[in-house]
Amino acid sequence: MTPRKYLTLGAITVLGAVGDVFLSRGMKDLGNITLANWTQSISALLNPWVAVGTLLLIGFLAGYTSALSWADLTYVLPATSLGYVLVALLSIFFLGEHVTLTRWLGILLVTGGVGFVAGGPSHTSKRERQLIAEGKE
Amino acid sequence: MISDFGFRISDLTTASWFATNLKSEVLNLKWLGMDRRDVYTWGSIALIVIGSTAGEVLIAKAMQRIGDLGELRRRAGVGNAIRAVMTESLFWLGILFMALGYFSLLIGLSWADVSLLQPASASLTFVTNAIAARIFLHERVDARRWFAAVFVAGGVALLAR
Repeated sequence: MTPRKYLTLGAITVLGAVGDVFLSRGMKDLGNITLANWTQSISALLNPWVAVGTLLLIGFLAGYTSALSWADLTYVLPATSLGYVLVALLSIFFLGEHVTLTRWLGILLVTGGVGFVAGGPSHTSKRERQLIAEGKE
Repeated sequence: MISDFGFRISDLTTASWFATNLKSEVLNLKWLGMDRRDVYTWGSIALIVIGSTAGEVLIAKAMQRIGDLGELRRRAGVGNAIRAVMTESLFWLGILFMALGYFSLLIGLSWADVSLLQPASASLTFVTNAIAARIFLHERVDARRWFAAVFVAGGVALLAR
């Protein structure tokens, strides 16, 4: 793992979280979408918050695709899970939602989970994959 | 009034009234203690989980085939690295599932808060992904990663409260 790779993981975390919060902010302006008016989910893209959120999520996807080319999915997922904490914090400060003690406990557990994988190996080698595929491990 | 088929028309009407009522009872899911908002919220969470698990596993599989993008970029240039991704069919199939997840998220967000929707779908996706990565990607999901998955899934479940 190089500093550049850690930077990519950091960018994925921030882009995904901020993108989701932007989408949420935009959807608060629009009404409920039902199966009867599902086409609204496409016209929702015209809302500036949703549009910027979508652009951020496209950036997230580009980083994610790159990260999956040099690290395992089961490494990338927990390594970028600080994003959930970021969503919680942003929804408190930006969208004005309330933070409870259980939520702080949740934040603590997520952070612990990130610590677990951060120090471990990030990639399963081709040889190891072969052994796992053959059921030898 | 008796029809040519030997049953009373009123029986038929009663049966069709009953069937219509049963259908609306089943569809509105009140019997599960769920209202319309719950159905849309949890329905979209289920679709987000399906879309992102399938999408992420397919994109990861595509990237396994292509190899380290950083190395490819250094060896063959940015254009070739992008071309390698764009011409990989599994990548596009993955994007299709990610799009399903994205539109389900938009519909879900029109019914519920992001602070419920995102952690709830993420914690479920964590577990489904760990299982799918082991089966389809043959990743070494060691004790450390299982612990991380359980910690993070538990943490996001608490965040959703």
